[in-house]
Amino acid sequence: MEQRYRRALLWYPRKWQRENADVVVSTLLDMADGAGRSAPRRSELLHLAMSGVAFRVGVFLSSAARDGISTIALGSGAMFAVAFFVVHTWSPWSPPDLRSGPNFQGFGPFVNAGLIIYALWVGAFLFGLVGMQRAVRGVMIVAVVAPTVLGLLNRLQSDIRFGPTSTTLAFFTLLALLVLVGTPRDVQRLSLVALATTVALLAVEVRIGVPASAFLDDRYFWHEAGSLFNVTSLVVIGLFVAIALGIARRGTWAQIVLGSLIPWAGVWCAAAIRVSYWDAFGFLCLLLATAAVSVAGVLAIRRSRETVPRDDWADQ
Amino acid sequence: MKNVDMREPTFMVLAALANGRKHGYALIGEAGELSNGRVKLKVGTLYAALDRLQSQGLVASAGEEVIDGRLRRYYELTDSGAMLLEDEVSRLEGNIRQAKARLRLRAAAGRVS
Repeated sequence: MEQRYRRALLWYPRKWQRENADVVVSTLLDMADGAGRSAPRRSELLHLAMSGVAFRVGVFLSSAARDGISTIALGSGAMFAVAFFVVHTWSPWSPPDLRSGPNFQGFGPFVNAGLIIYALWVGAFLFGLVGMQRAVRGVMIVAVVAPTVLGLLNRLQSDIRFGPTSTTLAFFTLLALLVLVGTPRDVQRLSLVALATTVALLAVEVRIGVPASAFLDDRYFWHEAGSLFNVTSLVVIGLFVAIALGIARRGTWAQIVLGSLIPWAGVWCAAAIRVSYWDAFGFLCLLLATAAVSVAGVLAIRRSRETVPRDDWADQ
Repeated sequence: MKNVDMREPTFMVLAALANGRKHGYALIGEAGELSNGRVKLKVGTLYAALDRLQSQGLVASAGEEVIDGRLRRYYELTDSGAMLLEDEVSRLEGNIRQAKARLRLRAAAGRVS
């Protein structure tokens, strides 16, 4: 039993393990003795793993930054889910013959099974609005796994053309991971993020021809709105904003901007690979180097000026 | 120190240490007792909270001892920690007074109507 607990503590940083492992294992063994157990509970090991990962993340990100990133990911992800469902999965205004073909099986009255992922997001958003954080977390854990399962099923059925595309699946997976980084506890901010995302998405969808162009699958969205130029612009602007915020001693906001760029960095990779694999690789190296230098700079500035210890990050 | 966002596990840890030093297992038991069994601190949560509270100077390590081959580390409340706990208790008491006053008004309004 002790060995299993020690293995679970490997999720923590080595320095932390050196200083605390013996004490924590003793407490865990005391707990097991108190409950009359001779083996660790699975939930106990899972919680240790999650706490260890949270500790590693918490070394770099404050609680406020993680909650901010989580809020933006949930608010924007839910509205993306609604838009992708209405426009790229349901598309009620499109003629039925556009949604049939030899390679296309559909999903009930809908174009594809993306509905499953989108429903999870809407559910999590509603839970977030009423403050049911545990439910949000539970749904988001499913939302991390669901896109991969759906992608595999699509490929097994050779039904990949009408998606959801790999870019969509990866985008929602990254967003779900970001929601799990913190707790979207500020309902007002969550609503604001959702509203801003809705307005932005309406503008983008109208610009790419919805609803006049009948049915447009999500591939079209990424080709048009998520083109390499657009996403590069977004990521570069985001990086500059983060650097400016860091210099302006707004470290938490800089971290929130940087964290929120992660799904878009994923979209950027997909867009770059579509254009040219090797060029994409070069660009990616350049971007990663720039991001690493930027993050290091922001953190250095923040730490050099930090006077207040970080607040709660583990009380979740 | 700003304490409006103190969450329940933090409050329980500080409250459990208010009457003397304790080790991790005792803290978990005490938090459960304080909340009538409602708060069940997990070990990962407890030590994360203790790490943070130590870095904030609210809790300090108060010695170690080996009992039955198991290493126990004791923790105690610092003066800053005690002050913060008192502030939080005052804040909660204020909230309770306000809530009770409103409930009394509601009950009185119910009797009138």
